[in-house]
Amino acid sequence: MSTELKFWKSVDELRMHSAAQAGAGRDCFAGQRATTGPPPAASRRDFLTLAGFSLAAAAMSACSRGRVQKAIPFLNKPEELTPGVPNWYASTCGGCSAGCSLLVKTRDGRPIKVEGNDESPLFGGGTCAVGQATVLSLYDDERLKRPLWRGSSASWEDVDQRIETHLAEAIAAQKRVVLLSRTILGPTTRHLIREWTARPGFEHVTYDPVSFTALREATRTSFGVDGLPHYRFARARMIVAIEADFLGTWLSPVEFTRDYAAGRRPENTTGMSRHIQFESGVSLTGSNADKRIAIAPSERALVALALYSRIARKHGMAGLPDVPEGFIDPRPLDAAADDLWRTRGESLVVCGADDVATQVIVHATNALLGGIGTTVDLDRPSLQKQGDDVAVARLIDDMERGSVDALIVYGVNPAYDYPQSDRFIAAMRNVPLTVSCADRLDETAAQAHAVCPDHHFLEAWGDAEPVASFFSLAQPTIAPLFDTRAAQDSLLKWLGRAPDFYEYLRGYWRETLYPQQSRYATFDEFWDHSLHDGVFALPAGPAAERRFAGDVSAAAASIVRDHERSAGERHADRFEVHLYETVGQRDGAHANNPWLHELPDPVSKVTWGNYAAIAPAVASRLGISSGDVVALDAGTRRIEVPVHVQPGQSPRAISIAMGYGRRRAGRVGQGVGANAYPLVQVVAGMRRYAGTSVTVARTGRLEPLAATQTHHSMEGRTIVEQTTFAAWLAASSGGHGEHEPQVEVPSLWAGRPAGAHAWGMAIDLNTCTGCSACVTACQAENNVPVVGRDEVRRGREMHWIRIDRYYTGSEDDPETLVQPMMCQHCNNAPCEPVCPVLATVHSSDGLNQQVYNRCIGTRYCENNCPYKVRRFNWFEYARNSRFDFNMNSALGSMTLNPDVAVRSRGVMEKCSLCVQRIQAGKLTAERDGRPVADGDIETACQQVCPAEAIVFGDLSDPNSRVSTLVRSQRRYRVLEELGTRPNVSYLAKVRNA
Amino acid sequence: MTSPLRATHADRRVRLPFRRWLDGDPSLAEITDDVARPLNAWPGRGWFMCFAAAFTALTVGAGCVSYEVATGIGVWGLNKTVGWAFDITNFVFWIGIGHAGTLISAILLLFRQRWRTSINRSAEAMTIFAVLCAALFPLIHMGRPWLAFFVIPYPNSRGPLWVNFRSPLLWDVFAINTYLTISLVFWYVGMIPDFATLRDRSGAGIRKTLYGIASLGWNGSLRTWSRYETLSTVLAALATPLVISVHSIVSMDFAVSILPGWHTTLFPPYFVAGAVYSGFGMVLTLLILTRSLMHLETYITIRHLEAMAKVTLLTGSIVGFSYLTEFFTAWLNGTLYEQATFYYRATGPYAWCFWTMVTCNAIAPQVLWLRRVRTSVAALFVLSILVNIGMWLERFVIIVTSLHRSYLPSTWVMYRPTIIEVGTLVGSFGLFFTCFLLFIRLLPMIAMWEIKADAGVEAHGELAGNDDRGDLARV
Amino acid sequence: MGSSPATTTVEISPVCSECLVATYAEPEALLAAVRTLRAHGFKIYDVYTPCPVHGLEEAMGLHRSRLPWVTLAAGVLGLISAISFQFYAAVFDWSLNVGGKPDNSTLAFVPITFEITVLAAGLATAAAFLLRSGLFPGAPARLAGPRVTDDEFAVALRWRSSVFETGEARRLLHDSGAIDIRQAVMEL
Repeated sequence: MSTELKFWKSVDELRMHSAAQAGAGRDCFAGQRATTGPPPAASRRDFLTLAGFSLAAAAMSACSRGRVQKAIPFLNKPEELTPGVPNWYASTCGGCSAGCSLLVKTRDGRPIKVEGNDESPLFGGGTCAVGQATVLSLYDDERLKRPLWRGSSASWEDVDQRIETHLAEAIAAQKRVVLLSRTILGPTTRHLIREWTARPGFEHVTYDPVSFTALREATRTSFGVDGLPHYRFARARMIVAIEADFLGTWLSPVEFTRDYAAGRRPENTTGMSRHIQFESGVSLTGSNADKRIAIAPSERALVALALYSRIARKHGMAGLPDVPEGFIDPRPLDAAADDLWRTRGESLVVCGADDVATQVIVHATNALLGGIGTTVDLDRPSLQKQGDDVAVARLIDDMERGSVDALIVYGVNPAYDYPQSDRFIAAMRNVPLTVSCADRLDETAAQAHAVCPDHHFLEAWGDAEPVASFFSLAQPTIAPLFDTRAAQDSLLKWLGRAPDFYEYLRGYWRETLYPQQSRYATFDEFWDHSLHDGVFALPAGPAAERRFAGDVSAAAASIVRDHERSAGERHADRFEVHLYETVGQRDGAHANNPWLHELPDPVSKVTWGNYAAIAPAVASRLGISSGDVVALDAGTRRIEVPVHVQPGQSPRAISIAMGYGRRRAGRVGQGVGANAYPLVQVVAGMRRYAGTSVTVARTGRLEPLAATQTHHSMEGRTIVEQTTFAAWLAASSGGHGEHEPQVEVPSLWAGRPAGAHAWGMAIDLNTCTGCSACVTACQAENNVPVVGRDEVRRGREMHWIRIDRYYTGSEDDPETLVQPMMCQHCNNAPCEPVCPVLATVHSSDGLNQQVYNRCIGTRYCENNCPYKVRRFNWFEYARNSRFDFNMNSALGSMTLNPDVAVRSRGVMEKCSLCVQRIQAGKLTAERDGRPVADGDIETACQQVCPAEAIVFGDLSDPNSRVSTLVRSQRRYRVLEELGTRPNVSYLAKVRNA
Repeated sequence: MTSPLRATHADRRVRLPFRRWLDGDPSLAEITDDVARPLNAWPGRGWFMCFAAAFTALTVGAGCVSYEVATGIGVWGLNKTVGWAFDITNFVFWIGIGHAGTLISAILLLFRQRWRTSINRSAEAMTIFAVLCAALFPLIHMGRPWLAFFVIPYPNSRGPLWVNFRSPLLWDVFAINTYLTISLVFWYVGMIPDFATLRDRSGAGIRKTLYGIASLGWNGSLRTWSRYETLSTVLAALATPLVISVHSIVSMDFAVSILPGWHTTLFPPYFVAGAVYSGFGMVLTLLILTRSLMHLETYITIRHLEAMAKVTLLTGSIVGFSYLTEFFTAWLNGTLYEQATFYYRATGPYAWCFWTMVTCNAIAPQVLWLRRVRTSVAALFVLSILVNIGMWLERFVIIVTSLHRSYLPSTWVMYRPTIIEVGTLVGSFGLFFTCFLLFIRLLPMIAMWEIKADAGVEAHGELAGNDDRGDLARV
Repeated sequence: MGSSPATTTVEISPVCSECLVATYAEPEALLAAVRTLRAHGFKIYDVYTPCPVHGLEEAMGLHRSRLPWVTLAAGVLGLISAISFQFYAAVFDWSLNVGGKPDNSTLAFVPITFEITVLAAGLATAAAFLLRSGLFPGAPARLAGPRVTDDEFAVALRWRSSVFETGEARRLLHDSGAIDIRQAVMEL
């Protein structure tokens, strides 16, 4: 991507320009000119211009307001904006707590797409579905347009004045002022908050909607490290995960997926890593495991303990606690232990359990396996999830007691996602001044006296340090759309400081980070390069000696105790609730984002709402089927959700996704699904996400799930091909089934003359986890409309790429296979000859083209497509109140990609292999007077894939990556026996037996 | 109305001997009177009730179609996997109905089947109205019907921009239009002499003027008659392969695809037989109604009905045999997908459609081996309704069951029609019956001149020298 | 003209446009009369019937209509133009890769070619018939009798003075069972 970065010309020009802009222009950025050339060549100029840009941008964001689509009068075209040429800015994702580094694509001064930053050592070029969707949240109608005081809009001056006087009085009266914030990834903001808490009576409490306190606490007690271990899946040849969905939602999915995929390529010289998953619900990670064992939530600790004692025995330790077993088939445990031990030093055990004891045991196991320092990095720990459950619980008590004089809520929404939200809301009423920095009038903001809307992260300056000494900068890619203010500016203002976080940021970097590096002579050089690259990493210090200092026996004892205590609840008509995050919704912060609601769950394929996942055996026993609404009764708390019968689900557990049932998210999000947070238990202040014991009762209501896939067996057809690693090694002839990939089905026709290129794609089913980031990326890139729950129920979702998911084996313990499926761009495409008006034809370079203007919508092509990848515009999806999503609002439409037509009703559409990107790549090459090089052109799905499972390229170039993959022995094409000759190939899935 | 002129000639009325295809013994003049009567008399209550019902249905359909065109195909129950259902089902159904008309008027003419003479006019009318209904559906099933003219290869300024001559849908466009045109010509030419008759028996007035224009100055000259019969034979000879080609082409919409359950060479003959079968079903329905409604039992006799029943039996058996063949082929060719398609067709979620279809099309007509059933008007009427239902379901089964579960199980879905689709189907019946009811009021629904000609032949078969050759009633 | 009793004789000067029209109630009688008259060398102008009468054409010695030649010509024309147009459009004017099929997918062109052939042949034949028979909307109907389109059959005999002087024609017609014989000025 970086080669596509644009640079500016000169500081002076820029300054003048910004001045002019400040007067006349509105939101567009000062300071960008589209000249090309790789960064090294231009690094000097680069540095100067970026410096100028920063000043200008800072000035601009302070002075410019208004709607961006009116912003750029091309009568006097801003010099840095070339219509049709995107500008790219490095930034940092605010989608979740992982803080991935991004490159933001802006067109005509507005961000329309985010992509991963290749230069990031942690995350690479990949992103996740949530990250892709954040750009849509920027253009959300429901965002607050200006600050509110007691529910009615007010001016910043007014609100600030009231807050400042109140804080002044509080200081004077020695009262407590509490800042309740999400985990702060940014070192600069952390520094700012340290200043804040330096004030007498000023406190800071960190709150994570989904808590990792247990892991944090265990890490502290075991290793004396304040932070979370930084897990290095790339180094692990044997992975055991206990209820940790590290590929989907756990800590840093993009980074973990990238690392995990690196180890899962059977062609690796070191072989393919093994992965065993113990979990209750079927997670994305579990569905990718070599072996997945369904366990009840209450058994996670026992599994951890059983593993530990096996490893310990191998280690020759004595005096181990006796573990209650027999709840689970010991063989997989033995096998897992053997593998872990065989690969010790390169093995890893991760656990998503929410109690300290279990995590201590897991740490102990990793320590025994010699993973500390290799697969478990504690020298540079992860700084995510710093939330402290106990502190939060204490805060609520204090609020109830009335001992908190002012509460400032920043970036969190406990009135929705705290288990006892009603308690929190009530407690807020005891606080004389409550301020929320939410971007919308969410559940918490609705209760606050003042709402000081924060910027969207694409509008704001910031930095992040997701993993110690890995830094990432965030810069505005558009001037604020509304009269909002960065929360940091607010805090500065209320501290009586100049509300200029940009300068504060530079200051911090100058004082703190610049001295620690030696590469750049001056700070400006250091700053500009960091801003340009977006990322900056400090060199690793000497590895400290980390000894495991936890108390295993105590932990083991408490586990056994818990197990015996809960024994009473383990009988047939009671189930253990297992609460989890979905890949799309996560903790519910993005609930008003239609792309994420329409994103099918990677495993269940259900969209628009959550459900209670129940094992098939249980469902038949209770006479429940998918869509039946059941009431889950946990005594004091009770929720009603539709049932989804999930093969592989633990019969003891009912899995329900958190993050749904928002009441104040906005038009799109509220009322979708049921809020499962109330089912979280608070035990001694600690939040427990599993184990809540419930009874299940039918309500008689029926609420059909909106699933994009309703048939789950391959019916014995060779569609997704799979083999075992051993078989693959043995069989030199590819060996994925009896299928013979290299044989070309004879054709009746002579074939057509070859074109300049032969675009093709290869998808590695082994590294593809099914995370579905590509689905959202495609939606963002190609203006794919959102159709809503009812239309999905009718089987009319519009996604150009879908992830087919099949189960094989028994219902209770199935194996899961995924397969990204988009237009296969067949060379002998069945859809083409049947179109009466030649609206779909073949391009000379191998693309199956759809001509929207010519299409009259007979749907004959759809019927004749064996892959069923064509999508018909059943209605007018844009500017239609019937589909009140982003395309129905002027603001939401700003995210549309100007390079892709918005399709009208009645025409067929489908994957174009991102033909607009192909064109752009060809044009760039032509302008530079060189042939298109391999890798010049990346499709959106390829670009976003953190596992790099998708490779696009020119099949006519024998050295292109795609050509080499197509020559792989794992290569096959779906339904090629039909003679369709697809240009999309797949590499067969390989699993360890 | 009888003119004084006629009264003076009443005494010279000649009685022709008994004719086997007409009941009673009407004179030529009586034939004219009987056929022309309804055109002059005020329609009875029965007709008005039928017309009211038909017109209501037509209005409902018009409403549904307008709503669909204004809102989008989404108001139907189709989805990402099932792109066709009611729309193309109705299309094939109506086209099939049309074919019996051509068969009766053209093929039976070539075979000198004289029993056709009293029913061919209404059968041809039925053809035209059915083809009109059929042509409606390819039009409204388009996502953008206002661009339907794209399918016509007209010279344009958009640089080379033609249509896809490889697409069966385009073949349909040409087939249907040719079929409609030729049928109209055939129908109109057949009515010219009767228009003349009506012209000459009506006193001066608008009616005479209209018939005068329509009759093109026909005066019964022998030379014209001789050319006229040549023309009829030529048109019949053209219409016969045409009708076969039309439904073969319709069947190619499916046969040319790669979809299991569609992709089979059996379809052309299978569809043509089915078309004739369904067509005769509809002809039976209509004639049984009209002969009582218009009191034409003299001309549309039980023997006509029996002859049609025999054709129904024949074609119905061919259809039933085709069903067996389809399954046999699926089993024989051994491809997983094909076998699965037919397995699900008989056992899947739409199995009830399939078995109803088999009952109506393959089993029910077998009762026609019994003469007692063939000669019972009530039984034939019930059966004809069953045939219509069965043949509609056949098209539905072929289209929907093949589509809803094709190659990739991940794309398998269910299709459920919406009220709009049902309304459109009802509307097409409304259109058809409205047209037909108007036809029997405004045009001579029995070819007078042919009846008269046959009357001569029947009286003096030796002149024709081909008495009852190939007469189905004797076979 | 009115209907005059069968026996009256009307003396009029011979004019070519005058005909002798005899009306019959029975096709057989007509047939017999036609045969007799032609046997006696009379030139029958035309016969008018409400429906085709079998054997009449042979009796009149009419040769078969040449309409089928029109059909053939039009059909061949339609066939050639249809196939050549499709070939031109798909191969020369706009060659596209449609599902990897060859430009000249001749077999795929057959159905449309056939339809056009039939259409051309049918329409041309019908048109030729109307033109040749002088049938067109608004054409005046020149009737040999008020009921020749209903239930009467008429034969029109071209005037020949010698014959009429002898009255032989009248006799023949009368004997052949004409229910009405009259002399008429007809622009048939």
